[in-house]
Amino acid sequence: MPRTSNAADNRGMVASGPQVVFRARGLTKTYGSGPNAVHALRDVDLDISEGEFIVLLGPSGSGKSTLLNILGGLDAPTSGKARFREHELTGATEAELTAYRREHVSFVFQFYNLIPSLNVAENVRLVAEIAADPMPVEEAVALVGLSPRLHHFPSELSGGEQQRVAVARAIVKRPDVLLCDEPTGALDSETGRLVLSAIEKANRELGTTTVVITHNSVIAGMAHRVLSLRDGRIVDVSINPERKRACDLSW
Amino acid sequence: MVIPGGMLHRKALRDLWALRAEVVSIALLIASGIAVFVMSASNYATLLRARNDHYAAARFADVFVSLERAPLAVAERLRLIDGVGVLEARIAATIRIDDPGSELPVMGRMISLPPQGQPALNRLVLRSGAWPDSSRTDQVLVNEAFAARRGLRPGDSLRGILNGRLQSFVVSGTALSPEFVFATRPGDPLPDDRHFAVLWAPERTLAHAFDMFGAFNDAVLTLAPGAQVLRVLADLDEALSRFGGTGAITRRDHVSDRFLADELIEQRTLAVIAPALFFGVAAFLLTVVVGRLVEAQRDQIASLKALGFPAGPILRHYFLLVGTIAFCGAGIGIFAGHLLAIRVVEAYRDFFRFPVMEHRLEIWAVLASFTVSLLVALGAAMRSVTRIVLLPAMVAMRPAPPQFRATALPAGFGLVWSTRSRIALRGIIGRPLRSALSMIGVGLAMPLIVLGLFWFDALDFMIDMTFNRIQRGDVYVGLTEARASSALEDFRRLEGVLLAEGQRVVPVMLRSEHRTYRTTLSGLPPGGELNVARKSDYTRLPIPEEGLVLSRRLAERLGLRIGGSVTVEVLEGRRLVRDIPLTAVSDDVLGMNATLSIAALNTLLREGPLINVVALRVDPAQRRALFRKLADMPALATISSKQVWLDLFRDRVAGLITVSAGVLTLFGMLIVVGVVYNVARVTFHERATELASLRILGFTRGEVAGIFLTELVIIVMAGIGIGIALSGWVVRLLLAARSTESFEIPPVITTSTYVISVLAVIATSAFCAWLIRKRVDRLDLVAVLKARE
Repeated sequence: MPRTSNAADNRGMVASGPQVVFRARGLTKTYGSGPNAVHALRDVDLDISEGEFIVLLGPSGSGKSTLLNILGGLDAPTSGKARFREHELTGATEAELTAYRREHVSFVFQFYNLIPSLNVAENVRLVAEIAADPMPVEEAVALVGLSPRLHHFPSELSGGEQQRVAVARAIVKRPDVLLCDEPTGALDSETGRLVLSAIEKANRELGTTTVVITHNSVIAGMAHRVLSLRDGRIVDVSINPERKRACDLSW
Repeated sequence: MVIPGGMLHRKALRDLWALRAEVVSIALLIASGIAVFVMSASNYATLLRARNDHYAAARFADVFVSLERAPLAVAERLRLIDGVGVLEARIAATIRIDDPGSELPVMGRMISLPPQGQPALNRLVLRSGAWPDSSRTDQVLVNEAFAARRGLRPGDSLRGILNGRLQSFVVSGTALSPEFVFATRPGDPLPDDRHFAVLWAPERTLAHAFDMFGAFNDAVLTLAPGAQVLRVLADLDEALSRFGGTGAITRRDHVSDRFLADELIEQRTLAVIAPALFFGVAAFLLTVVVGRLVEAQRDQIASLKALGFPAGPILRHYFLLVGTIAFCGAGIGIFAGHLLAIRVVEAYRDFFRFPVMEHRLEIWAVLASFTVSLLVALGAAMRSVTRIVLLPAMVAMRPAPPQFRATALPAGFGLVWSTRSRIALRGIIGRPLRSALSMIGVGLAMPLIVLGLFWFDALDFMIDMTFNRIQRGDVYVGLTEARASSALEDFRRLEGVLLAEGQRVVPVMLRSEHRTYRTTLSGLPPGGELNVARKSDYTRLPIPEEGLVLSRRLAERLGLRIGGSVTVEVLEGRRLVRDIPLTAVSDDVLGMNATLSIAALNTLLREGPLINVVALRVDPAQRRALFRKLADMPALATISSKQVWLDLFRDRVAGLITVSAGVLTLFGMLIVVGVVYNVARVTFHERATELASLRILGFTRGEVAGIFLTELVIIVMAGIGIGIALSGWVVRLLLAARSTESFEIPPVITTSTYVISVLAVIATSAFCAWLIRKRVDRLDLVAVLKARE
């Protein structure tokens, strides 16, 4: 039976922990108006600390993607405030949001979205080129265990391999935040574990604050904190006293 | 049973609406080709019909012959020549129209009318007033063009100098003649209605003025059915050799008819080449767009097939889609072509004088337009549609196979290309056929623009070559008869004359084996300044002391090489015949010229140092006064002024060229829009997810647009390169197709024409890029996160 969420709960979890990087207050997102209005988010408060690994759980239409998009600077809330460190995300211009994503955020998509005309190394290098302090491309690829496939094209890779390239591409610029939207949604469990290992590695070794959307509750075991969403609200927050390793997960 | 096509037709309509931008651009492209085709085909038909009707109704003669003077009894003998149909003997003379207000002397051709008024051949069409009263000698009919230009109406008076005597005439009416559809005096390149008049007067008037009672000096005739033309001409020449005959000619050598024939060739060329170009590009674009459409609907097609639709209705659906585009394009094109044709026919009225020249929309051109458009469109669609429809349903349901493999790409790119430009480059290499077609598409637009602008270059070149380098005299004076070269002194003494050179010019027939050509043979002073033959590099070609120089085209026409021998038959005086070796070939832009040193020509004619043309260089400041003095000199048959020629050229030709350059440039840019915009749209749709992902990863709008547009830039640049290479070729092709006897247009394209064409392509492409760039800016980033590839 999920507890009704409240703002104090969410904030309280991390009040004494490391520095808060994300701070959201009263986030509301409404699509349309009048009787047909769809409320994707309703008055959500949330703080996320540096280095934290968060899993957002919830069925389709629960608002988890909308929340992720607002945190990633891709979408603006209808009302409420969101802030990343000193960056005010609500009310920022398109150029400011682009700069924010460029300097601080990385994404991993459900369907990889690699550039089909670039090989593994080039896909990763492409992003490294716009980063202020990227890690060496080979190192990023090694981190996801794809060094032998450096010069393969996406069409020559399996889905799991492609997603690991996407992770390498995401971490090569040493982002502060890694946002993953159903990263294993299109993968079988074995391949999914490899991808999650890569994400886990980035979180543990690089200290990247990580938010993963999934509707696979098994993955929640990896997180510091699991937020369950339903109908645009955070309906449950649980903290894993002991985080599971990605390789130990099974579904 | 439900017809499976019903819902599919609704789908076709919705697809058309969804693709409206592409649909409109392709339809416009087809419309451009059709417009040019309908316009040219209609003009061709209009001119042909106007000419044929006029010729038939007026009984236009087949053969024309001039002589010095022969008793009328000779005409009876000519009528007996085998192959001669109807022959009409008449008196024709060059006169001067007295017009103190005109800078240049106004010349006229006066032709006798038989007692009954209307001639048997070359019948006149009375346009206003009445026939001259044959009992009086002071009434004339004036050609409509001159009358219109001078504001002459029946009842107005006109003074002419006939055989040195000033005579007053009353204009009884205005008329049109098949002989002067294109009214030009011999030697002028274009009709000059202000300075050239045709007058028809009763026979008595001319007989009186030129002392020709009981005699004639001109004859026109028709050929009897089955007549052997060459034989008739030879017999006529033979019969008239004692009477100063200058050689019978057929319509082919008749100035007015030849010019008409040239214009017909021109329209026919335009009706074929330009539409072919447009259709080529339209077909390409259709292939791309339909290919994309079909590819995007691959799974739809597969499910239709899985649901039991046979291939037939699906094919019909896509053909309906494409056919609609072609049909609309053809419709717009026919309408536009019809309007253009009406405008052009209006312009023709000033040029060609026909009694009736009505534009009519040609049904066969309309049918041909629809048929060709549909065939081209269906042909273009056929490939992509059949490929997918014939796939088994399960294969079709899977997305198209991937394109990029490490092995398929050349190694070593990494050294030269940045990661971002590699995306563009591989985008091009990954779809080699489409990329090549896009480049060719842009490449095809260039020649159109060049073709439009090229006429200015060609005209400038022709004017420069002809008037500044070859015929360098400012004024050419024709003498009524050959005079001693000492007569030059009379001209040199005139105030305003800076240089005077004498020439001897005679009409000749050149023969080489079975080939003949009638032209004038000019005797020029070696080392002369005012008429200079040119080599192929346009440097001076010295006139040899002995031996003939022919224009390159004339030598080719006669099948002659240097060293070969030409039979020269002089068509006046004693009609001497000589074989002369061809010693050099000159590169003239205008005309088919034969040149000899004046001394050699005098010797050939068995005469002393005589001249009959004087070329003058004059002081521009004193030109007007000089013309007045020249007009007062006796024994001057013709005076032509370079300035008047140039004005005519600019006036008449430049106007037409500006319009066609504008139209072709517009069409060229339309092609660029069609190609670049469509390629950009297609590429954009394929790349939208990729580009949005990059935006999410922190690439700015500018960077993403840069990655995307680099591919377009490469395609456009390659297209421009192809276009430059094609331009010269297309220009040459068009010129070869329209090559006429009157003049050959040199394929000169200046750098500035290329620069302007390239800039036009770049500007148009930039416009398309800007349109697409707006789409890049509006990319929906959120949708991408969930979108399937």
